[in-house]
Amino acid sequence: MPDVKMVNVTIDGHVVTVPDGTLVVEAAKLVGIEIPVFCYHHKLDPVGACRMCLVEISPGPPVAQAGCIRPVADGMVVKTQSAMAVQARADILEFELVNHPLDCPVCDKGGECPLQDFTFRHGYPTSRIDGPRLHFQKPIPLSPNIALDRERCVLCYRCTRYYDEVAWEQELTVAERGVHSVIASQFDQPLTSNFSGNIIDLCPVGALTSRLWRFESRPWDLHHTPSVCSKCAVGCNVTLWQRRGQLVRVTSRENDDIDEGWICDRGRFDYTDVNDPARLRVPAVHGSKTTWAVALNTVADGIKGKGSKLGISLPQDLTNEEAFLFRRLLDGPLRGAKVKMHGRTALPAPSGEQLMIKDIDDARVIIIVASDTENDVPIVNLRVKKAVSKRGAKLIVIHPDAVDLDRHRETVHIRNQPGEAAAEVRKLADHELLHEPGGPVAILYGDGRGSEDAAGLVAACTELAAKVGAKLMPLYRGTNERGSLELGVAGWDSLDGVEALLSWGPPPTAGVPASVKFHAVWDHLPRPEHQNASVVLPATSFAERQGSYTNLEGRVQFLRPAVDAEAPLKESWDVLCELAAALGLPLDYVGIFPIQREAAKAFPALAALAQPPSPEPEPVPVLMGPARP
Amino acid sequence: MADENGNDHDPTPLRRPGEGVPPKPEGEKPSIAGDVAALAGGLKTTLSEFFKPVVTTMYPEEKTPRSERYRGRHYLRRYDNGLERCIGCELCAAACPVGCILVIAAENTDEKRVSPGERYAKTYEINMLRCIFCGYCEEACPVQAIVLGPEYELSDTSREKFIYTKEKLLEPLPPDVEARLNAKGTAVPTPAPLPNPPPQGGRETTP
Amino acid sequence: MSALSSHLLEEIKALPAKYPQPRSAVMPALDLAQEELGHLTPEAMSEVAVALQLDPGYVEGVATFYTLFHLEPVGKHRFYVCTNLSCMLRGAEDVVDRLKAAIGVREPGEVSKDGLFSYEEVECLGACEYAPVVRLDHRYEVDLTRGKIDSLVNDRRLVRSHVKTGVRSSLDTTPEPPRKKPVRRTKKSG
Repeated sequence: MPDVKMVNVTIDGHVVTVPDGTLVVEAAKLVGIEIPVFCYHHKLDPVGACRMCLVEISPGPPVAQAGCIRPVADGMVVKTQSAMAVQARADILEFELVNHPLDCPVCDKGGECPLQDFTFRHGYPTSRIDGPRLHFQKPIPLSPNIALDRERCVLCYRCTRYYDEVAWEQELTVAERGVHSVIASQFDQPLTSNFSGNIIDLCPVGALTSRLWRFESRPWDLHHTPSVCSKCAVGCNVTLWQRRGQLVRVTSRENDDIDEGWICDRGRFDYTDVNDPARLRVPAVHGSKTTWAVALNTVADGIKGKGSKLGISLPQDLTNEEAFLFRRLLDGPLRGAKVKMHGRTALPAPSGEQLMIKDIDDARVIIIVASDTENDVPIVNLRVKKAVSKRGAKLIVIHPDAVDLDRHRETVHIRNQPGEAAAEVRKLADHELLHEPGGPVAILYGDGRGSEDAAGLVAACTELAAKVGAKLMPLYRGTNERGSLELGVAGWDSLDGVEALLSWGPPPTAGVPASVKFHAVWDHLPRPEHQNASVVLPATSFAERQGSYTNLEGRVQFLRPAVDAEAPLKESWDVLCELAAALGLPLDYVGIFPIQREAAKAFPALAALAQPPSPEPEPVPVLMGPARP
Repeated sequence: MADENGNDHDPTPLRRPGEGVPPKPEGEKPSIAGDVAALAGGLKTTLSEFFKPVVTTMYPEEKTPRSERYRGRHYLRRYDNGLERCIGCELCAAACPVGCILVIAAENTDEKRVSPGERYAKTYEINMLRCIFCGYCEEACPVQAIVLGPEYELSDTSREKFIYTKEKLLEPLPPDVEARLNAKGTAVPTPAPLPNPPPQGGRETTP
Repeated sequence: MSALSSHLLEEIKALPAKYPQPRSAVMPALDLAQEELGHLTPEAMSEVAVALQLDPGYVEGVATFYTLFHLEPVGKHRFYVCTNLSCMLRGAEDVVDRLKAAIGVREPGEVSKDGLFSYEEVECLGACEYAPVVRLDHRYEVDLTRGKIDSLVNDRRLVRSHVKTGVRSSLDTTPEPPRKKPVRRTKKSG
């Protein structure tokens, strides 16, 4: 942005040049000076509620001023360490602690709590508060996953502002006023939003905590691994937290290209299966435990030479590496097998100019066709909401039912008959919003959960994109649907009539076909369908798996194992290589890196695999966030 | 002969018993009286010690007193009403310089109340082989739950037995609580009143 | 069965047109709902939210913020006793004591046994020259004496529900001019 005026500001003697309009707290981050904040969050609008960020600013009145709502000006001099500023912040902290229960030893936030840290760094060393404190029932369950402790709350309103600004919901509000103000859910009903879990990360004190992680561990006991969420095709970056071989917590990891630090509740809370004591860990043939060699030879014997009588059921979260090995198998010994990928859309491989998730921010008109974005691609849904409410984009939704994007008054919702979305898209070319869009147009399309003719819809969207100069984003549902499509293993074949079935992941959603005589399963949890399976191989879960996913915009991201796959569990690529060997196809890869290098060479879309995962920096503490001008 | 570090550098070689006994001086005649006198002289010290007070204690039947601040084996204390003091905060484990403490916390419920407040230690283990008895855990504890007692005879026959579990570390119930429990036949101690009892339900405040 | 009557909901739906921000209508809408029901129930707040195309949580937040919106049942006649400086100097504490005795309650917000009365202590009502002052049924009763309080209570006890009060916004606290045609919008249903 060349037309933005740059200004010079002096902060504690450091001169920093930032764009005009930058807030003082953000400018201070650039020179590594901490101005403590509670209510301010770099993804939310500034509100100036907590006064924690008081600094001395000149020119200006001789009082401490809030740095989180004050934009910089040329020649401004900010002093964060002047006697006035230091005392003002210490006094504010003393007020914050007037009613704080100081139960840090039993608080899940203890150890990663900004209130604790700021009290140590900016507060008075002793307390003068000897009066009684406010008491509330604790903890109050806000939802099955979130607990609220009103005694610890400092009323920064981050949670309610997040709900209002980012998630477009109002089910979490401030009730009462003044000293009686409390955070409350609507009529004390449980929260239902798919985005509720983010308030746990946002809360700068221990008022909002996860009930799944409740008292599991202190934060300093955990090992954390930067990884990628495996629940949908958006590919949000997450941090997986492990203690004593258990996955105990999943938090967001801010990546502005994809998730902006938000993750949905499915990604955050749907991890307890990893620690299930019933996890499969030993291979079994006809119900009796055996060795990997015996089990894999049995599988090879059962599926060898079946041709089109063999069915392969693949999960939606198949990694690129597994998909590449399946490609090798399907080109070799398993040629002709029927492949069905579950949980995917009917959309074909992408065509037209790709819209990146980040591009949604700058779109002036956004068109969403035949997709329930709230549930299918939740974080893209938040991105659209941001573009609409904070950047003034216009939104057109084509969907038969009400969607949560209707909450905005100016959303144009065209309710199509199921199956008629393509016709509505063709009509859109003359829509008044598209005559003079005034900037980029974004078209996001799904498959209406199978109710639409995918090919016709894609053609209509491509046509519209060409007319109005829009970029396209297919909204895949399967986590690695796009990578599998590019590798040609995202099959859509019917499995009816197959004699042998290899279920990689959970069994087919439609049930195991009656014609199946030999059923081999690779799964991590016992399921009723395994009763009649010939061979059951124990699988790694997403927390133990190595590999990569291609998200819906074509970005390749690496999964890192947070929990060790303890023997006899085997890595998925290892199992597939050994299975290939048993089938007579020698795939002697010594690790996952040679597989990735070869896949990168063979498939241009996976070129990113050639660069092995770089050791990433430590996850940034969620609350401070990276410096941002 | 000691140097500045206190090390002895006496160059005289060590002698075996009986080796190098100096020869009797030439010309001295053996006499019985002289022998008896020498014997008496030798026994003088022994006999005089015989009448002094005895300082030996008959360990293990008898034990020397420990200092009040002696740091021996750990105990987990209880409140007078029988509830455990430990709140499972893991600060002892954090303070432990050798990492010999494992705490896994869980949540109290009204049906199963183990300690006052929200949290208690579901698992509390100390690896006594690793422990150096520094007392930092005692120092770190916010509720004075873990204390180091006077007991120091910790020998045992296998390494596994040195992982002291919570059952082993916990103080016995106070006699009155135990009597009450036995009378009622219930296993749950009466909940203790919290230091600041929260009012039940809703947004009421006690200013 | 909805909590609010249909014509009231129509009236609420017409409110947003008066304001630049549609959600500004939430206060008058809640006021109308309270006028009809006496106090705001979660159902009523939800219906107001639906009528104004807002989230119920937002409406609840507004309703709990203002003390003049009642979330618990209150008396049919509510005394708002000023206990601020001028009234206090002129004997507001006596007024409160007398009132408590007259309607038979112990604390603010408590409803008398017959369900007719409750009282609240409020800050300055802006009628210091007439202190001590109480607001009752959208009217100011001024220069209070013990006898006046007793008669205010007894009058309403005698006429019970037949008392004729004009319905005005509870935000409009100026002394009410005499109305030609007293209107009772609705009765509490059920």
